[in-house]
Amino acid sequence: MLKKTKKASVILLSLVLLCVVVLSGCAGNENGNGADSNAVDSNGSSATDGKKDDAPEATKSLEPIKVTALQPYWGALPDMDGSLFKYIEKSMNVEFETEFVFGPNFMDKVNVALASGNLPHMLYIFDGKQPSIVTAIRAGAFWELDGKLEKYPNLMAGKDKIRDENIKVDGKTYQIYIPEAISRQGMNMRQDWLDNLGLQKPTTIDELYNVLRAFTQDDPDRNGKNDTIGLAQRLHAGVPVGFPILLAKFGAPNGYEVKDNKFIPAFTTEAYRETMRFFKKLYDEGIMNQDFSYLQRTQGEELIQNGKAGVQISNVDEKLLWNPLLDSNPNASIVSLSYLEGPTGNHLFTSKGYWVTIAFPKSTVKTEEELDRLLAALDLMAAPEQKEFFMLGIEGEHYKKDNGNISIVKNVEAELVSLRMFAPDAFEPIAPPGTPKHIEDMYDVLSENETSNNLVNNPAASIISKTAIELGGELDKMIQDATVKYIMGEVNDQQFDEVIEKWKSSGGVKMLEEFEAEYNKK
Amino acid sequence: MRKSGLSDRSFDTINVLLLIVISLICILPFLQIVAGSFATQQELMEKKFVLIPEVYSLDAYRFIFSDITIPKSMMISVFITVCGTIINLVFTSITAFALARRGLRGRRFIMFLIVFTLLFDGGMIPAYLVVKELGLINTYWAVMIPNAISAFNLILMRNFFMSLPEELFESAKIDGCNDLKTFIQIVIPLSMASMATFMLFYAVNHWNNFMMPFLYLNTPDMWPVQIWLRQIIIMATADFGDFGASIEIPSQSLRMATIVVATLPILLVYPFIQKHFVKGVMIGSVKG
Repeated sequence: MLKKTKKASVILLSLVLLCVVVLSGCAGNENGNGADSNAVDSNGSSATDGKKDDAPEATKSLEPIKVTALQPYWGALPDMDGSLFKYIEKSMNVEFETEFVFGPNFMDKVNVALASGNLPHMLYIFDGKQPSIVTAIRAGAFWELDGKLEKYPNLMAGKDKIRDENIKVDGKTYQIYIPEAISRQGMNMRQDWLDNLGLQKPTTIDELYNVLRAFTQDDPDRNGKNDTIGLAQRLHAGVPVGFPILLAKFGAPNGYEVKDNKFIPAFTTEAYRETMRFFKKLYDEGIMNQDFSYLQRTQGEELIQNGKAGVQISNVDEKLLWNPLLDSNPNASIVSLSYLEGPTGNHLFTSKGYWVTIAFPKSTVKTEEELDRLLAALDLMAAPEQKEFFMLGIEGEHYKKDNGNISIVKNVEAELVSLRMFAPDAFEPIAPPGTPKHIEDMYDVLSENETSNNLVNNPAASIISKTAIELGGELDKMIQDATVKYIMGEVNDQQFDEVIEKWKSSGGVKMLEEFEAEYNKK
Repeated sequence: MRKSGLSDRSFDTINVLLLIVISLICILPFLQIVAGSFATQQELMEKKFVLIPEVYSLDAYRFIFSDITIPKSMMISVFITVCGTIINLVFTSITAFALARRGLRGRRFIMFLIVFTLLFDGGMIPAYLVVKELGLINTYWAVMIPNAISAFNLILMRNFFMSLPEELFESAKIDGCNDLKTFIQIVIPLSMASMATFMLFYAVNHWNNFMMPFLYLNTPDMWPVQIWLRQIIIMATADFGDFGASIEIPSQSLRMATIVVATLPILLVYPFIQKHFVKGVMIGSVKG
């Protein structure tokens, strides 16, 4: 009996041991990783220790500060041991512990961080006006930056009235933004097709229609087959990608129009109806793709890359979009434009004008001195002399300069995309040297837009309304669906009016009232 | 007789045809992905649907394996799957066995607590807070420990243990076994089939897990293959809005090749466990 229980305990022991071995296997691996990060830490601190020994007090201000950040990235994950990242750390005199999160998942992670209070020194935010962020701001989670930025000339240089207004919460600034084009609206089209048909680049809506029609019916690629369409479209934010652009050209307001302190939604205007009719005509005549309502982004883009469609109306600077076409068809060439005269002139809608924002949580950045050090470090990166770095990389490694002539050694543009988030400087659309002609064209259109005196801003962009947060998405969807159905002929004018009435009664009127109240406070 | 033979036969034919159609519907998308991963980008763009590529190309695979990232993350996935599944099986089976024994006091109450978790879930943020407070963030424990026991699998396993005849335990006791020895020497060998099944359930879960590594593992060096897979796929489908301008979308064949690479290893486990499968799941629900 006794023996047997002993045997059982031997088995029990060995089972436990097995578990321990297996688990410690896991632990070992973990420690391996942990050790790596520790090694970085200890290296850092030992280096600073060394400095301390040499000159205890004087160099104290030269020690790199440790900064944690939560940052999104797109495309390739930035290499934190690579020379580009090291350059930024060195220039800012900062030791970053950045957590990079893939763009589309990023806000999930931010919300978890906010809810758990596990915040970094620098919190990057997409769309700084979304409910969770506004709630956090109102609860006092972030430093207010008004009156603090003035000390930093480079940070101030990037500031701009429309953008500043767009990022304010309750009239105050809590976030630094990394700016992007104020309006990316425009279009690209096939220059070779225009040439084949003896047409000119359109300057009015009617001319645009003629080009689109000819691209569909007059065999622009000269292959003897009727296999092309004018316009490639897909849905973005619920409506065809080109819709807001033509909406601007037809003279509709950007979201809302303020008349006598009253907000008038764009979709109740005649210009909106005109735009829908224009798209309906394109749809009915087969000038745009019939399957636009369910195409995914890549599918919509393939129409252009296959040489099936000749015009893309959307963001003008989609640089990589045309590459597959230009690679496979040496005759293809494209032209970009944003100028198009509508019934009331050439208008452009502004977007929010910034890319991402940075907020500084009070729970991690404890004192104003710490905040100042962070801002000073960012100011260094926003300096004009850094522009070349963010465009081309490091001199000698990624590009060479010869009497002012720049030659590219290694193109690191893709890697620099996410690193530009370290530079809250002014937005200047300048094409890097060595850029192909058609991409230079796109940059030209962007800078043309930047200084256009026909920019139409959205008066509701800087207003936070409770109803808009709660119901805004649903209300928008109602109109978007009706718009798409109108274009496809499933909803007529009268039914569209009914949808507007429904919009008003399901919270729309309340939202407008809140907008008006906030707007008139200013 | 003849008539019934005919109707029998037509029934069979229809049945077989129907099953062939259904299995094709299941298999074709996967075949298309495998074929597409070997096709050239040009062909995929011209024809929407490729089952037999005209030109075979290994470019996509070459690209995936040109970099250490994917192979390394696959090793991490294997590691998480193996360790995690062992933890799952050990904890689930000992809990299930204890709860299956009639002698355990408060058994009903414990069962109630377990069933309760099936119906009500705390959600992402409370779970994150618990994991964070336990200091598990950025360790592999965070993806293995929180879901160590699946309540559903526990109930299935408990049912299976309860179906074992009580006499078995009595005779084991007479022969001098204590509970642990009974469990190891008698119960485990008897339940190999269902163990294999649960092993597969758990292993597939670990392999496909995306959300937990995404939330709890902050260092890219620690990411399993599913996170990378999702990134490559999502880049093609998501609208980046304003960021799209400078981001190259991975080619279609590359996306397909990544799906194949990330799915194949766990798919290869199936044939070895499949024979236990039906037996394993059924055994618990049918008494006697």
